[in-house]
Parts: sequence; structure tokens; C-alpha cells
Amino acid sequence: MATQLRPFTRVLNAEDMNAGLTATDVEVPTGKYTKVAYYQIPAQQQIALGAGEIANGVDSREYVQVRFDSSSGQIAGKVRVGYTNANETNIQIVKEERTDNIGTASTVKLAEVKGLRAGEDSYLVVYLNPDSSTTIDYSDADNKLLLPVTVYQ
Amino acid sequence: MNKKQTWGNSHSNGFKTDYRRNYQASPFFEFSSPVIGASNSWLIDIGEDKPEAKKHLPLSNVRIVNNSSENITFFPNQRAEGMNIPSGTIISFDRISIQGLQSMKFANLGASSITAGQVKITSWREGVEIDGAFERMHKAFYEKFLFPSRNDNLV
Repeated sequence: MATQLRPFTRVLNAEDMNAGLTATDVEVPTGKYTKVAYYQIPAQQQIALGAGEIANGVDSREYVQVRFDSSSGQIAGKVRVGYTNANETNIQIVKEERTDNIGTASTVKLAEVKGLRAGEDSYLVVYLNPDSSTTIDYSDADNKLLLPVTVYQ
Repeated sequence: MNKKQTWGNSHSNGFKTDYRRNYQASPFFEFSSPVIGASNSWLIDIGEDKPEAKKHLPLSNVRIVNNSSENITFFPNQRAEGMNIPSGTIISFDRISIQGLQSMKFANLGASSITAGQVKITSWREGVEIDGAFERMHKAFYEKFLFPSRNDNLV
């Protein structure tokens, strides 16, 4: 990895991850991980999921928050966050968490994933496995997606 | 380890299993569609739907039999872009076109729903033959000698 790359932290939201208010609603069957949000890495960048770390007694990690609503309120289930390559054949999951912990008020911080980054044209992806089958209503204003990442460029 | 138990015979079964799993084809995994409503979709998460397939993931080959009267779109790994599978056709994709398959999404493009069982999917991971073995060797060579700077932890 080239050493001249300089990192800065960033937080991706739903609009960044093609899951904004105007996205097409998607069915989320229970027992399966449905891709609900994705972000393609821009040219000349590498991105690691998560931001910060605990070092010298200082916790610089940032909160991750994923909340999606159906027409009847928040969808409970499991969320997976990971990387895929550009043609989406190599999928690497780095985090699985319950919506109970990262939904409305997140208690979970996501430290920078060391040693695994997505390169140009690859994707950061979010999968949702709900407790019961439903459909995500992307136009619901309660939806919230805050995914801390570290950008190297 | 006693005298009769050599390192070789205590490990040979492990080697055989490992070799078969890595170099021979996986079993076929069959999926039969539920009712797919008009402009609805059907998601197959291979590892979750068939836990016995997990150790063979990612699969490489898929055969799609669309016996319904509606056209469908196939999204390998839930990609944003899909491939059309016209009504009444059988279409296969192999390792060269897809490479790694962990989930599949099928969208009904038609105006009416597809009856359960009218779309049949068979998926498997193909065995390693000579060009597959060459591809593995080439990849190792590429990463080790040609472009060691790419031999990093980039997805």
C-alpha cells in the first residue's frame, strides 16, 4: 500500500449510499441478507470501514447507526457491513450487529478496520436480515444511516 | 502419537477432505421459486437458505430455468445491474461470467405473478480443471512477482 496516502475520516449517510429518500423501495425477506445500501469508491481513493481507534487512552472511534423503516415503523433485525469488489463477486463482511443496538440511538462504535480497504470502483455495502419479512420504505424520514469510514487519498 | 500413528496417516483424511473441497465440484444446490408477484422479487441467500452450501461458497455456476410466462431479471449477488432471462428459456452462467456467487435476486418483470415452482435454479461450484489450476497459479505469480505492490489488503 502506497505510503503517501493520507487518511481522513468521513461519515457516509443514506444519500451517499444510494439509500436516500428517493431510492426505490426494496423487499427484505426474513432469514436472508438483502443489500440495502452501497457506496462505490471514487477514483484515486481507498476506503476502510470505521473510523478512529483506542490509543493512548483516547477513544476516537465513531458511532455507526443504521435504521430503516417499513410502513409500520422501525425494522428489527441484523445488519451486516462489509466490502465487495467492483464486480461484486468477493464479499468480505466485517461487522454484524442488531438494530436494537445501532437503530434509533446507537451504542456501537466502529473502529477503523485495519488491513482491509476497498479500492477504486469497489463497494462498501450494508445488508439487512429482518426478523420478519417486510419492505423498506426509503422515503420514510425516520431512516438513518451513518457509517464512519476512513478515506485514504 | 504412537508408533503406528504416523503424522501422515493421522492427517491424510484431512488432506483428502481439503483437496476434494478445494478441487472437486460441489454438490448441486437446487432452489424452487415461491410465488413472485408482479414487479416483486425473489431473493436467494445461498448460505442462509442452505447451510450445507456454506462451506462451498462462493459458488461459480448457475442454471436458471424460467418455465413461467413472465420475463425475469437475474441480479447475481444483488448487483445493481441484472441480466434478463426471457420467459420459457434455460440460461446458464459459468465461472467465467460470474466467478463468485453468494446470493441471487430475481425480479419479475411481468404484469402478473409467477406461480410457485415455475422458476428453478441449480447452482454449484465447479471443480478445478487445467485452466482453473492455471488461473490459480497465475494469480499467485501475479501477486507475488509481477505486482507485489498490489499484494495488499484491498478488496
